[in-house]
Amino acid sequence: MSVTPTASPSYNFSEMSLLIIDDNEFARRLLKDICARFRFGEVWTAGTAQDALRTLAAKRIDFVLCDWMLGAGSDMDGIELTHRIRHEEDNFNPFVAIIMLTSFADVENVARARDAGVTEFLAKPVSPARLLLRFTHIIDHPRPFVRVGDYIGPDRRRHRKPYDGPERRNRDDADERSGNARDLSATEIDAILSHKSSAAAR
Amino acid sequence: MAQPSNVEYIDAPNTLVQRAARPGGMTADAMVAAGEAAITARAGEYRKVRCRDLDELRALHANFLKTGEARILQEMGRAAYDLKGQGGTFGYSIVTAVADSLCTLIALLEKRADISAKAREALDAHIRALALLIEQDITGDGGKLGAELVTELHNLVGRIADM
Repeated sequence: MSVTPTASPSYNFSEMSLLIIDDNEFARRLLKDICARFRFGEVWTAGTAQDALRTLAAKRIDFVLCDWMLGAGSDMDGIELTHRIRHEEDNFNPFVAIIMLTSFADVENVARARDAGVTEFLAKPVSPARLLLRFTHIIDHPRPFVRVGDYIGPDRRRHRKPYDGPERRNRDDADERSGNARDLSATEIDAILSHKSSAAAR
Repeated sequence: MAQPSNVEYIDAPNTLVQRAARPGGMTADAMVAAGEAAITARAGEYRKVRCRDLDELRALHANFLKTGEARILQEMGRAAYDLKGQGGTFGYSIVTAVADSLCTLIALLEKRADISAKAREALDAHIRALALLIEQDITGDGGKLGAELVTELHNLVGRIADM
């Protein structure tokens, strides 16, 4: 990847596989379309947590893009699924990169996702630019995995940037909000995800 | 803050950087443009999907007014969540903002045993607002009127929260 100040960085996703988990059929197809145009080698989809676990057991998956709410058809939500993935070492890759999607991007939810072991968090509405940024951030800034008590997931402690709270929102952040003052901007989400998890602090 | 104890570092192989750097990739700008084209290609379908979501929301609302069942309120929350999540992707940020307000209201009401007349009016106001926006195909943030509408709905939800 050669990055210069004037050139857009280049990425090759053709040897990478992605699993999209969303109970909303239209959202699933839309995300698949976008990611196919990013030229992922393989894009799998699942409408339930159970289907997702079957795919994870059968395929080599590099990225999981999972909606938090998985509807009545699933016996677990996206957070519970993340916890299950991180703790199921015998069946599939527990270190798969997990991007959690949700329309509820408040402090409490981002912290819950972080403590469950997600790699990245993406607030809806989704845009290709913001989605791509999540993939490339995972690629460009790999984190080691740690096990601390019940927590298994990316080590946040490499990034000691403290959470500096909503008072430091900037104008660009405001443009990224979903329309709710409670929802965090991408910068604020990053700050929470980069902060040491409460599990790791114990 | 307490120091972490018994931290076990796990050696997890990661070849994403190497694979992403292989020849034949796309620039990030080209990927974003291709992704935007995928959204544009689905825009017509989305307009049908959101009409279907609105119909579902109205039917659930009517059913909830009749039965008052908590399960139906939960299903309304799910329908509002979908409208909130998808509106902004297709340039209907006003739909996202109103659906978000409805999500907040439903989350409040889910914690209550009784739904007051004022709360029922607030639910109705949100659904009528969504119907107007979708049927009139209002795009973007809806301008000044859109901002006033969202403020008014937030005020309604605030009053319900204070009750």
